[in-house]
Amino acid sequence: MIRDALVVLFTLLVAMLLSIWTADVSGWPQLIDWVGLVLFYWVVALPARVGVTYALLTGFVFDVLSASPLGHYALIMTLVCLFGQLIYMRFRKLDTLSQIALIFMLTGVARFVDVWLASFETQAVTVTPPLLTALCSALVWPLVMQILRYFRRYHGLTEW
Amino acid sequence: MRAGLLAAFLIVIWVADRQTEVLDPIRRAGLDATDFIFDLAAVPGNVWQALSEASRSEDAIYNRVDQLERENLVLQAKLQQMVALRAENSRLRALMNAGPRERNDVLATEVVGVSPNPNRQIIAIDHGSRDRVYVGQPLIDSDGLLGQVVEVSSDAAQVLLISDASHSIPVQITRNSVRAIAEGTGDLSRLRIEYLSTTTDVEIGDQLVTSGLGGRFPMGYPVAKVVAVDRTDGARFATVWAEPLAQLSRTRHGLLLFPEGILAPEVNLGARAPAP
Repeated sequence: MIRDALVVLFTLLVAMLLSIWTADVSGWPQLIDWVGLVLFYWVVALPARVGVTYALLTGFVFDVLSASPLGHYALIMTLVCLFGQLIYMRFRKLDTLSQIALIFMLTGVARFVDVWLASFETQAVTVTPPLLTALCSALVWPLVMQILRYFRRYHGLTEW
Repeated sequence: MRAGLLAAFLIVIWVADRQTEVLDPIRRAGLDATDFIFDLAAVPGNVWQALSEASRSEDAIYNRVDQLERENLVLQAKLQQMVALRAENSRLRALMNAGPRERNDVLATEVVGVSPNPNRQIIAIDHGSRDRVYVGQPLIDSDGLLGQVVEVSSDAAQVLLISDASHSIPVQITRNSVRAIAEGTGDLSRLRIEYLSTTTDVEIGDQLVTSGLGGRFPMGYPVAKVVAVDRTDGARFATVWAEPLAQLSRTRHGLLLFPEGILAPEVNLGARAPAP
């Protein structure tokens, strides 16, 4: 049980490191919403195990790392998680192209909520265009899903 | 129902952290606990640097040392001049009954990562409150001003870059001491200079330094160079663009500025200070 939780947390940690690296290398912070993608994968794959607790934890850590007011990314991650719990049955049956389209919409909405909240915090001009994030995230989704699926099966994590 | 309550709870926390300082201790504790993520993120870069240094040929190293020695000599010569100028300056200021100029100590720090926040330009550095870093403290690199500290934990801090859209800084033109405000635009290579009327004497190539007004940034540190001036007929203010002098996107090392006398002399080179 604890080992399973550690497996999920490890992948979320790697996603955060990837966020920092892509920001560093490309100059576009959150060009790909790694953390959102990884969280969404786990919610869709293990909806009974990975839920709001993980979303809150991830969100608060991301708030601290990005110097946003606490609750900003926690809210966005919770929305991603709740959406995943709503549609996981249908999402699993979709073909890759439809999944890419749905991820594009989901990350797009998540980023618009992000920009909307940020507009209350500062008079911010967003550094990375939201739709660019959505597009890049959608395009890497099949890869992320394959890697995480392999990882999940390797560690024998099943739904129940 | 549950989801609605949860969302409401998160919004309350968000508003509370934005408007009040109630959650600051929790945020600091969080930053302390998640420090290691930035440290981990810095590992590949450090390994890469170590590998490229190890693979450098002996000749290249000798050349580098040679170059650094020459640079050092030039800097030493300038420093001697600077000491004399500083003495002369303080004598002249005394003659004019002006108070002595504020001087700064510096602490070398390393940039360990770029914050993953897509709406703001923030970098993380590896010194925190244990080394007396404080919120609002200026950070410079060898070419100019980088930004100011916005979050501090015990061993790390986060710095808002001058190019962030929410950042403004009082500056003056070195050529004629005209004062203005340099605002970030969200673009690392562009600052917008505000409140210069169309008749103000400003030219492409003018250097902007901190004016010291507002009391946050000490006076006289280079900030940017004017790259475009657009005077539209009938407009009240000229549109002036400047390019930051500091290497905002590439810098790996920075200097934290402290008011003189706060740091013990041995901490100046970046060694950890004992806990106060």
